[in-house]
Amino acid sequence: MSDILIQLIWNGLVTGSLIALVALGLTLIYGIAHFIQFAHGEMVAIGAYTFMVFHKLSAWPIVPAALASIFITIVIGILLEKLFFKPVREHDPLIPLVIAIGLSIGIQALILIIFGPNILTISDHSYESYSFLDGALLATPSQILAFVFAVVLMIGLHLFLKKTKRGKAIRAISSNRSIGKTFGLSTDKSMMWVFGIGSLLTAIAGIFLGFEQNLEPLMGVQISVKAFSAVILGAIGSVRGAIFGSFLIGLAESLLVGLGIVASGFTAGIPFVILILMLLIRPEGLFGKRFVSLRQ
Amino acid sequence: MTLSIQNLTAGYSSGPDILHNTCFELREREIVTIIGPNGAGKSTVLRSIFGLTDIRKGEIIHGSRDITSLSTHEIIRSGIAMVSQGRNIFPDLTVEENLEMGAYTLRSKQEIKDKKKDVFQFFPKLKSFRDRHSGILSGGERQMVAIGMALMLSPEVLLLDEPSIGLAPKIIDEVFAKIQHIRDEGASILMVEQNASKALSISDRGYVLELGRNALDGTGKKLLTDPKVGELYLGKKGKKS
Repeated sequence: MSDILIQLIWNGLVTGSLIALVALGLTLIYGIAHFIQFAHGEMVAIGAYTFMVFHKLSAWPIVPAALASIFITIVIGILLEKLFFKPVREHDPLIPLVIAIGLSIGIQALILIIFGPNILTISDHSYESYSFLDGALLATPSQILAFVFAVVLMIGLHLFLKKTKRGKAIRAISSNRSIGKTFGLSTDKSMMWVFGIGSLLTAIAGIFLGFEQNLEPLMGVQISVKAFSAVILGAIGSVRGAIFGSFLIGLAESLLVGLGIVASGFTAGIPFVILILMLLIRPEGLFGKRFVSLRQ
Repeated sequence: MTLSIQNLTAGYSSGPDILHNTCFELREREIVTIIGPNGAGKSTVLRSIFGLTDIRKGEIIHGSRDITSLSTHEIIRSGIAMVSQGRNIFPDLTVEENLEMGAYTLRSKQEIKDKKKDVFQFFPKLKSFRDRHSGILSGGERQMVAIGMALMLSPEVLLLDEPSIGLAPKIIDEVFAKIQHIRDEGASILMVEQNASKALSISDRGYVLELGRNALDGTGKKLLTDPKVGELYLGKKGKKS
């Protein structure tokens, strides 16, 4: 029993890390641009598919293929902001929201046209699992790497936002854009950084997700729905909240299904049940501020 | 002349003109206040100086330099800083981070460190709050943070948009005392105020703006005793002052 538990917790942590990589971008973008970037999940698919093209189809080694795919995803993320979101930046957040939904559907369709509807694998190789704790825990290399990368990136993001001038400027612009202007802070630059960082994180999530599961045109929707729930759960706009919410959802999925409490066919519903419960009990999220007036 | 605004006509994006041919002057080490009713365009004057409006006519000279068409970033570097009205800080940042963002256009880390020290000396209270989120501070403390952010730039010209808004009378006196102190240290101050009597009493000169046009100007004392100003803006009509 405890063996299963260890394995389930590990699986939950890995799923949680991948959700967190997507959730962090969502929460940062919401924080600065005040809309939900519904096409953010599609950046996961872009990361995964471009990696597949370089690694499997063009036979590049993993590291250069990953770097190329991350680079392309970042460029696409920044371009989406410049072309579609920047022109409506001063408008009602409902407008970028609808644009994001349109982009999400458009990118899915594009993937469908280019790669077809079939499920693809990211690599022809299969990798041996490592065994830990006398066989109680089996972990694939990509699981271990995904977890390590996610933790390192979270710490890195935290330090970037708290310690660097650019990071502080991003938080400042998120906090009060018009005052930023009167001190010479550029909203454009901060937006570019946030969309770039968000895309970087999702590309990495996409590559690991490709190793863990398979590639399909709708893969971005599945993870972004979880990430979205995680972000709301933790309090939208909060980095800590997004990380906490992601691990909570990852662990809940793994444990509830693994221990037979919920039938595996209902896995996809778990984030929503948690989300609905949360909204009933504490609508501002776990790390949310109860009094909005504190924000002036 | 530190700042000279000549025949300024300005508005926002595609909107109508808000200022019509207005002129203002700010000399070295002066406190000058612009008063006038709501909607007269007082804030628009400050925002125009700062490159945040659409200037359609006229020019703004700082020292000997024409800054009319410079970007906000360049205007800050030319030695002008602005404290906006109301929500004028970054509530999710700590007091210290707010000050650092005030100095965003400065490049040297040492300079930022020195300036921070100066500002903490000027507002000792802020030093004890340095690690607190500024959003939880009181209105007066927030105004200190906002002014502190501008002081990080050691501006030659400080623009203040309604520094007393929303503050308790006692705090207003404190803020105005600090404003005089900033002038005594060498800055020139152009201020917009609803609280006309208090503002004029510490001002060297004042302007009255009505519907985007210059209506009156003169020394602070003269405007304070001007019957028309008294009637319109100081609430003296039929009441004791």
